Amino acid sequence: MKRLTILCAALTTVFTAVANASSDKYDKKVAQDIAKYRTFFANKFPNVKNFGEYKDGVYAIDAKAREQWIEIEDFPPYELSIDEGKELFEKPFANGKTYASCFKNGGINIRHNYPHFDTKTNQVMTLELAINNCRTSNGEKPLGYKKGKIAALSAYMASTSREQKFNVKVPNEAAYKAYLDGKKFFYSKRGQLNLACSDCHMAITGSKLRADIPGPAIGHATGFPVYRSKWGELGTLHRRYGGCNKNVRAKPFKAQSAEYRNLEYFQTLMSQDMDINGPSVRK
Amino acid sequence: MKLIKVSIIALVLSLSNVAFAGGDVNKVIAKAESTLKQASKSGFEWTTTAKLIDGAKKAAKGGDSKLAMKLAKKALKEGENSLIQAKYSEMHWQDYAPK
Repeated sequence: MKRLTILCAALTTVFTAVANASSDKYDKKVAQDIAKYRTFFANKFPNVKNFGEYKDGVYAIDAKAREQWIEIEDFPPYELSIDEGKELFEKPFANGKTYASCFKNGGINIRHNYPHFDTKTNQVMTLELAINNCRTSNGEKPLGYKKGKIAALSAYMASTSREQKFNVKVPNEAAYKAYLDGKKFFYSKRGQLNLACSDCHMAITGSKLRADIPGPAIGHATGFPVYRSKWGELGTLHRRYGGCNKNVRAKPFKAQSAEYRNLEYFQTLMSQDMDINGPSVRK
Repeated sequence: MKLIKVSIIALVLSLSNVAFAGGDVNKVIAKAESTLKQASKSGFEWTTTAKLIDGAKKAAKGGDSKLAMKLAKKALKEGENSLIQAKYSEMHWQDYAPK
């Protein structure tokens, strides 16, 4: 029995070491991509001295718009949504449980751990998907993924994680594949206008596209959900993805589709170690 | 009598012409739909193509075969371009990533 216990312990150690080595392998590959990505933005915007500034989106590179944005942030239009989200978060489900029962640390101060790759289901788990999974596992109907209650819940949860840094891992080959799918989506040209995400948010950012300057891609995921002046309300990152796709006349994917979750995974990894500052305001 | 015969022949010819044109339009619409389906499956459907097909169908139903053909051909071209875009992106997306 003692021998069996020793054998099991040895095997566990070996498997853990192999898994860690595998995880390190993929994290290193992604780290190389992050370095190239950051070098691109460092060369494009030499005046942005600290990468942390990119968490403010286009306001990191557009001084005039930044002044207006800072004034708006004095009385942020998303404040009521945070309150609404807190109320929803704390309201018990019909079975008496709350959202806190589904998340580590009771759902507080965890936003920076999303999205992550769920090795049990082999898929990217976003915060909004986890919120709806929590609802359905407690007998509640899922919420729509673009705006309204889910955006308010996400806003509240993000607000409890402000200034925490994204810490996203690539634990195995399946996770790396999801990352590559997101990367491929980001650089693929789509729609009648034949534009990739990277065209607007890497090649063109810094210059005007019609009336506005598209925000730099780095830091995209930090501030969501966002209150957009155009929407007049709070919306999720996947709502924005759908809008971007429509703008180039590409048929959008469904919010929380594998395509958009993988894109979020890629974008968040590119924003690794940056502060959470959601919810925030955008044009 | 001769006039009646000529009129009947002209009428038959014109009706067969309409039916022939309608058949062509339906074929182009069917091809456009099939191409759009492939584009959708590849994840590269454009938002404009399905609207063109709907327009072509409406025009054909309303008897405007000229407009129907114009819209159907445009939809087919868009569907084909979407597939070219999908193929191009598959082969070249890495060209746009920072080196």
